[in-house]
Amino acid sequence: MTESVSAPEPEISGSVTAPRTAWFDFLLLLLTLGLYTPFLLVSQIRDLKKLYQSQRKPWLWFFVPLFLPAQLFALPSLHRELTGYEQRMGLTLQNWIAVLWIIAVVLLTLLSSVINRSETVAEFWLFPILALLAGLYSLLAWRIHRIKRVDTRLHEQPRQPATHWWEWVVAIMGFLLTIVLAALMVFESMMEDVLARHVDVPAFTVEGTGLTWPIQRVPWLEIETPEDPDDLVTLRGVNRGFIVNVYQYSNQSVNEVLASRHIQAMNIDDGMVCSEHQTFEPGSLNVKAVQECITSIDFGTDAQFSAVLERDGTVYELYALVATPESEDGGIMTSIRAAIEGFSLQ
Amino acid sequence: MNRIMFALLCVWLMPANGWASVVFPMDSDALIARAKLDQQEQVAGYDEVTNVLRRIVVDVDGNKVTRRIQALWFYPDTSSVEEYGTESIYFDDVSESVRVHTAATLSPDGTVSQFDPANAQYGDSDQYNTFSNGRVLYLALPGMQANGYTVLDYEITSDLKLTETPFADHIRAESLFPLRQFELIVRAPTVTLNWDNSHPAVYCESLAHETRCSGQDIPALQFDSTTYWRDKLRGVSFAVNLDWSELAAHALTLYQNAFTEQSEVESLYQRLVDGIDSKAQRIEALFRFVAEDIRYVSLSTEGHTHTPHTNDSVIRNRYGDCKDKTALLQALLALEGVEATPVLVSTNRTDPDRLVLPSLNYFNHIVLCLAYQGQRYCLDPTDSTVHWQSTSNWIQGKVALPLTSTTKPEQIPAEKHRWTMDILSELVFTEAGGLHEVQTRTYSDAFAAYMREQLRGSDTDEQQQMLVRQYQQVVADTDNVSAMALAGTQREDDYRQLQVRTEANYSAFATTDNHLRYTEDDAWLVDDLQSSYLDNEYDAVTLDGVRYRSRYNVDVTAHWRVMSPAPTVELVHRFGSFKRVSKILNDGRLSIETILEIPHQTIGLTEQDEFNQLLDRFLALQTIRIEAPFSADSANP
Repeated sequence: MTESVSAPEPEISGSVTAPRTAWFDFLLLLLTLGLYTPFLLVSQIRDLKKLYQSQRKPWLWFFVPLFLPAQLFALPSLHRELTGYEQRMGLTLQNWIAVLWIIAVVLLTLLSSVINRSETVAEFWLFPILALLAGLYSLLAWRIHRIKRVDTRLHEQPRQPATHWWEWVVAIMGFLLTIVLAALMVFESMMEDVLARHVDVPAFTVEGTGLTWPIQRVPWLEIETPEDPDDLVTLRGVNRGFIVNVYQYSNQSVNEVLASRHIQAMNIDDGMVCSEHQTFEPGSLNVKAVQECITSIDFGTDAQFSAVLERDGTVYELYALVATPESEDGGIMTSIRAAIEGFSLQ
Repeated sequence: MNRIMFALLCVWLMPANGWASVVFPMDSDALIARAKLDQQEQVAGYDEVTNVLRRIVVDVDGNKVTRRIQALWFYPDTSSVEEYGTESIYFDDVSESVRVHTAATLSPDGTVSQFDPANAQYGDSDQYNTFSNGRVLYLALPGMQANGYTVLDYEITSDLKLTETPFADHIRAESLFPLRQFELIVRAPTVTLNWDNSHPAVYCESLAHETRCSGQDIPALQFDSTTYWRDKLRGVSFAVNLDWSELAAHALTLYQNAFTEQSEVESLYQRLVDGIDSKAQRIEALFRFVAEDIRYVSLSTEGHTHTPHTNDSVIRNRYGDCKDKTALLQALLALEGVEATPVLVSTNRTDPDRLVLPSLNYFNHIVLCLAYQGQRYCLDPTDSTVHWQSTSNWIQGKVALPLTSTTKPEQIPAEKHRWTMDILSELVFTEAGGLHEVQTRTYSDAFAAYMREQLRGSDTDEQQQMLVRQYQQVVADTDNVSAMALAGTQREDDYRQLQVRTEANYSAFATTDNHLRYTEDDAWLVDDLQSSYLDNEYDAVTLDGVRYRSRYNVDVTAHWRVMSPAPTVELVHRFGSFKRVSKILNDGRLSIETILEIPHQTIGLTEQDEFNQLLDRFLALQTIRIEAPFSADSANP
């Protein structure tokens, strides 16, 4: 007869949360749109530390779901540690499944980050990504709960309840928040369908005027023009990273319009740096002036652009206000600059 | 008045000198009969002043030239009667005699009023300091009425022995008024004449020793005020058979008279260049002496219409006309080792192609052209306001004939930018929100000469008042301004430039607790642009060429902080350009530089609108804009 001898498990250094169904974790994460994930990871790692004297620092795991680079190191490391516990408890899990899980978490985190920063993809697409991540992180919780269930020491120790009251509160609040957000997005989507239409032409032309400019790089939406007699048309970016108006003035000069814009830029931010260039359009005496005011903010750029054309005493302006997390050479800025540069009267 | 101008042209073409007499035989009624016939045929008269007949018979017989001139004019209203009622006959009382055959008026009712020779009046055709044998015979014709005719038939006989130039004549076939019938007969049995007819409505035929021309219903000549009408006036020209080189040789022979007595030239030269090292400065000293210390007096009487006085006499008299001054300057420059060429100039012609036959009669001026360090300069010693390396405004672009062995008419080169000006404005915004401005204007070349001419003859106080008035008219009508000429008005100054400084203070106008929004017209540019609009009806315009450079240094640090340069402007067109660049200086001031360039060029009639539109654009965008955020840090310490 062969006896297997193994090292005794260390003593549990505190009360740990009782194992619970992974569905609860999934709902909790889903309803909070993933916001609860860091807290869940911290609590589960803290339980591992109590159970197995793990050297991990639970608070650091708060940042793992948020920062992609951290995941590349932390998730494989945690997998190896959990595999060790599982082997000691006689549990098995195919290694490729865990690897696939890590790859999926990393890719979905990357995807959510891209969508979040992108002005070209609707925020709506974050929902399925967050749902998938919620599912993946609840699988991690399931794996830890599975270990807890077979660890006989837990049966003899006082345990914290599987669910806490504040988790219910968070779940309910998250549920309500999700409902509201979903309703808002549905409403906005419906409103966009009614009031905005995608500009799917390479060059936009203001009907009845001959004013035109190229549409490049990012999608533009034409929205209902406010009741401003000078405003010929209003457009914006998909996620409102920019808004563009085309105005027609019959009683202002090029310099009056652009001086006002400069003052307006200073009112937005008196550190705004502007440059302005006035010239003739090629082969003509038609004046075109371009003003660009720009300032860097903590996460991106604020900018104001104005392209002004003068014909027979009438001044036309393409005015763009940009607030974007992009840097100066991002897609929106490139698209707006192309529009300003190409703004012309046919 | 305009007929007088044409008559002036004619008299200029006449030689001067000798004896003179005017007689009134009043022995012909043929032209009066012609007038009566026209009156019967044209019962309703004519709508405007009309030259009913212009008939000229020229007989060239040896040294005697007789011109018989017959003219019928119709005057439709009292205003034309008032303006043109007195006939004028220009002649040279030395070399020419006048015989008046008919001078009369024909009233609408057929009454003929003969001129009484006792009422003949005489005048000199000369101006101040210009003396010649030119005279004017005034005939105040009696009985002139609206819808009446004037009848004038006279004969001028010239003695070619007393003239200094070979025979040439131009008989105009058009004037400011329509000409119903034109007749010309030129008889020259003893001399070969070349002729040219430049008017398409006139037909000429050459017979043996005789040329006959005629034309009918020739419309009035129409031209704009910017046009040199001699470039445009058409008719029939006659001249003896000489080419331009032969004429130049003839003129040069007369010109050499100046050098026959010049014993005082060398000592004068030594005195003028003593202590001056630079060749350019020595040329300037020689030019300055002839231009300023030899006053302009023209004694173009007998023997000196085209022949200068001797250099010694000019030095002794301290006066001379263009040919006297030019010859003296040439002699002085020769001692300096500078070879110069005398060049005849027509100050009222710009088109060499319109000098249809070789003749010296086209020219009324002479200057000196020379090459210095690879560049050609034309010096006009009658212009004391200009530096020798700047071409006088009034000869730029004019028709010229260098007196060389192989010559032909050309143009005195016109500078690309005749009116060149540099303006430096230092603006400082005060604590109270006012403005302190110091402006320095630097005029160059012909523009400096023009300003010098304006200021010359005034004392310092008068100059300052004049400059203040100029500032008030162009920049701002403020009393709080002072002005003074900094340089370029004194003889020892560099005449290539003239500097004016103005200082002005403007009381508080800017709000000092908010962003600054300030605009200012680039005033001197605006002043030029506003005066550059073209409104010709008939002719192309030749622009002089302007270059304005305006620099502003603006200090707003009292309350504001400049974050952005002023707008860049780059308006480039084939007619000219308007460019502005701006930068923020290290000391926080804003620097703005503007350059307006409209080079010397000809703008066609069909291009005029486009040119004016260009000026519109320049004017619309010339405004200097300064926008700067309020800065609490900049406020009072």
